[in-house]
Amino acid sequence: MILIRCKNIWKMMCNDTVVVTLLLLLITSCLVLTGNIVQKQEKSQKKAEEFQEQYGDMEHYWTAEALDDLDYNTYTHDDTGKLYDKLSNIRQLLWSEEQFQFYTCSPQPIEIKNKMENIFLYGYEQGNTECSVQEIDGIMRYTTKCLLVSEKFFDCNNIKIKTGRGFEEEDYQYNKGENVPVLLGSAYEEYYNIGDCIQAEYLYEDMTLQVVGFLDSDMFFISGLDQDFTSTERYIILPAFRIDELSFFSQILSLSELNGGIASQIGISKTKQICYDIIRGQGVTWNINIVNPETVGSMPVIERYSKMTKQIAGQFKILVVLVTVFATVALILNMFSILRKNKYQFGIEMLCGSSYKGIFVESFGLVFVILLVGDMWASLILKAIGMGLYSLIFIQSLVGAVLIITCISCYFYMKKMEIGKIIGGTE
Amino acid sequence: MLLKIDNINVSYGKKDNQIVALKDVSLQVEKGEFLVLMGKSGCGKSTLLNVLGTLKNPTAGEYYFNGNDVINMSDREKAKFRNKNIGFIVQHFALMNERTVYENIALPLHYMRMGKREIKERIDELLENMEMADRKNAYPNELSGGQCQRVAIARALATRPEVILADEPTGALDEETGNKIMQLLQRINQSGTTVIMVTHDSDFAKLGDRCITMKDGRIV
Repeated sequence: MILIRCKNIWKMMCNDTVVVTLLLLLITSCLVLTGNIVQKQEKSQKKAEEFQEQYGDMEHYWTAEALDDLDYNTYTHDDTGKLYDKLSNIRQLLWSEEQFQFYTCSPQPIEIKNKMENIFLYGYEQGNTECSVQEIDGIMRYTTKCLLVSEKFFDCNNIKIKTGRGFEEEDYQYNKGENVPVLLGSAYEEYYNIGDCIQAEYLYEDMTLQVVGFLDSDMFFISGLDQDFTSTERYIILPAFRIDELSFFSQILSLSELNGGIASQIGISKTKQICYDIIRGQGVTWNINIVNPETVGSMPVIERYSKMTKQIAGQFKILVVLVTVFATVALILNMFSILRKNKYQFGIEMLCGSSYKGIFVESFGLVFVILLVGDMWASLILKAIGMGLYSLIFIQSLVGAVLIITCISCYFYMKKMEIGKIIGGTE
Repeated sequence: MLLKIDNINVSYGKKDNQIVALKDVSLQVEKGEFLVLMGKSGCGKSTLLNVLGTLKNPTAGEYYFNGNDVINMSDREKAKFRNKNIGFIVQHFALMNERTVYENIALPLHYMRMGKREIKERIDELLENMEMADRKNAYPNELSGGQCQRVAIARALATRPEVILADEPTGALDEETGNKIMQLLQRINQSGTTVIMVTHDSDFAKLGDRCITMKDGRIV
């Protein structure tokens, strides 16, 4: 009996090869699309949650050195090194402050003396990279995006390393003439390998950069410059050096290291107060700017990002629903058409002794076969393009739901169709 | 008595727009009888055949076959009952075009869960009787109308049913082929199978043991 049912299902499929093939393609593509969307939706959702977890209770402020011209000149022309020591102490105290997390994140350009792709140059986003390429003393120099960062930058911005290693304690110690370890954003992966060296000039200091790792893709840092989240993918990440020796480089580097951010739970006033106390404690009247982005933009940047991510996740959900509804409706309508075409065959089967239940089983079997084959193809494609278990499980459940809905629709349609009515015309 | 129906009513549509197809139809058919049903189109003949063949549930009434209550059978029981006791012959043959003569005749036997070997023996015998042995691998669209009807009769007889329900079996055939089919039905009846036939042809109606005329859903 099962064999007969299978044979009948096969015959129905053979009678409608074009429709069945199109349905299979439709189901497969919809499932692949859904699997993809679901994976992305999950990623967005996760990211939103991560951000909430990471920054939910924290306020983030941007910091920048705010020495006036006089102070700056005095500081850079102080050959005794006293002011440099004071600044180094201030910076060190800020880095090690326990009531808030201060980190250096200074977007200072670096001049690369090796050929650099346009996408890494300043001005690329504005379509103007010409100013970023110069020839000086016969050497081409490429002004490239670079971030100078301290240890806490990674934790405060949830930046993860994809390959290689992160910065270690000794990487933050600058020794002139030695290779400087750098991390590269994910976009660099196709151009450089771990261990590669790059000739560069940073704050008028020649240095050789050595790649020690690559950052993960989709990593963002809170940029005071752009007043937004900025992707790390096109940045060279330099460690915020500690330099014992006094030099013009060490002086301006230390100043630069005051640019960054503060993650705080104690509020802007108290944070500012602690910073000023640290500065005044060193006997100087300098200042650093501490900006609360909430007072700058109409919406806090973190909240905005989190909201955006949640919105994207929501949009993905809507897409999944639309794709599913479309696939289900298309499947149901085509099944109705197949059932209509096979009405006479069902009638003959009834004459020969089949029950209504048996006929329903055949039509459900057809739906099952189409969905199963579509599901198998979609699963294989999703697996091949590297989709995770979550999307695979999701599409299996989706197929189950579509199967139930389609079978129920077919059941009522066939009931209405009066498949047993094969004798005589309409009375 | 083979079958008995009492006050069978069948109506279609909703209450305010109801069409009555059968109205208080009562009928008794003896074993081995050749009953002819006549009447104009739309008088309820086919509906009555549908009810007798358990393809249509009556709105009201009783139906007994060999003393067994048919109306209250489940869908599965009705299917089994149909398969075992009733053979159908319809005007347009009701053959599956994508299946061979052999496969078409085998269909009710598969539902009967008969073994492959038995099916083959049964079909060979039937095809021999129908003088169709050489066409068992042919498809219906390769056969003439008369041949198609003989295949349909072979299929109706395959499970050796007690009753054959024939709805205009000669309606789609020319006169000569129609006559042959009628002779075949008579032979089947003479071998002991009850035949209930719907026809418009009064000459063929004379071949039955009894003729019932229907009008507006009633037996007159």
